[in-house]
Amino acid sequence: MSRTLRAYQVVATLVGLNLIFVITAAVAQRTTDEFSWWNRNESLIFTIDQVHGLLFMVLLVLIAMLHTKHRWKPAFTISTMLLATIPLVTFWAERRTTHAVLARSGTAEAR
Amino acid sequence: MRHWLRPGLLGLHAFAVVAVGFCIVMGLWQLGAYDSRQGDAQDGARHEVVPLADVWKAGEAFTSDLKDQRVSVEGRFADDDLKVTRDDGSTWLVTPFVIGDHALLVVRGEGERAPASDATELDVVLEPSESGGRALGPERDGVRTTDAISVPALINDLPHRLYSGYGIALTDTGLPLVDPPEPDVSWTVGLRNLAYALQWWVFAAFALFMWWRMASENVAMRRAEDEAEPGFDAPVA
Repeated sequence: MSRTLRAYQVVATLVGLNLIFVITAAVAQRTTDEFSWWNRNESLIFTIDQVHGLLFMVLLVLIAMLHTKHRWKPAFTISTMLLATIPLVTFWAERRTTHAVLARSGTAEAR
Repeated sequence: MRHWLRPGLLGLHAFAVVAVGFCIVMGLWQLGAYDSRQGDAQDGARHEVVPLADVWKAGEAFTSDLKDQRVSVEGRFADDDLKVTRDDGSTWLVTPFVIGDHALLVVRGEGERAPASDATELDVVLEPSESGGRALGPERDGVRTTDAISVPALINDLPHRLYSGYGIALTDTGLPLVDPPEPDVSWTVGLRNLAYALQWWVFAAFALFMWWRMASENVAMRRAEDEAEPGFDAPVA
């Protein structure tokens, strides 16, 4: 397995977990009163939000690298990037990408 | 050029336009949110009026967080009116406002002569003592003249123990009021929205970059296919 794919898997999983937290926090901040944990730790959550933004940028770069390396079609690359923004779906998207890359390299080796 | 306008690529072009446009608009929206938070903070600073004693005791130094603070004061005007000529050619009328055993210099407004005022409650904006200021001139028509509201310079000439700053009146005491300076709001208020705006624009740039890369790869591939078609002498790569 290539290092790019491994890096992609790690970052995609982190982004997926982080995204669940970010969405949960955003909803909780708007639905709970100002003394709830979510609203008392606003600056912590803000920092995590920023980390999520940066990690997502890293993820996009890794997807772009996989795109070049494995000559993906634009539709596959773009859908991979978009699916990484939907909570929970991110994990499935990571599996989809991994299967696609491994299946391709598997057939290449078999030849 | 015809490779760039191939139907298969038009979808990619359209998607790129939508994606870049969306990111730019979202960034502008966050920038707008940043601006409005800055404005709200300024309005908040403007409207928050607290009793003077809550933020500043007589005899204490004027700290920077007192600047532009709106306070309410209770007391009475003394009758030592001062005329302060300003750099812009206007003249401010300043009267000490006696609060307990101290007095706060209060800019009552623009004018040459102070109408007597029996106001006992005022709202003022606190400002630090100005520097410089020449000694008070001789009394003329019950008013003495200087060119700066400098507490250290005035403290010897006035029969009061002065607060070490002055106030600009927000309450009308018979003179046209002076506009207080706009309160300073730190640029970090609403920083979250500014950060999001910048992130959106980074995404816009990235989308543009990806579009360029995918489209040019695709075009290069088609060209290579064209050249490899039978009937052409394809160069050996």
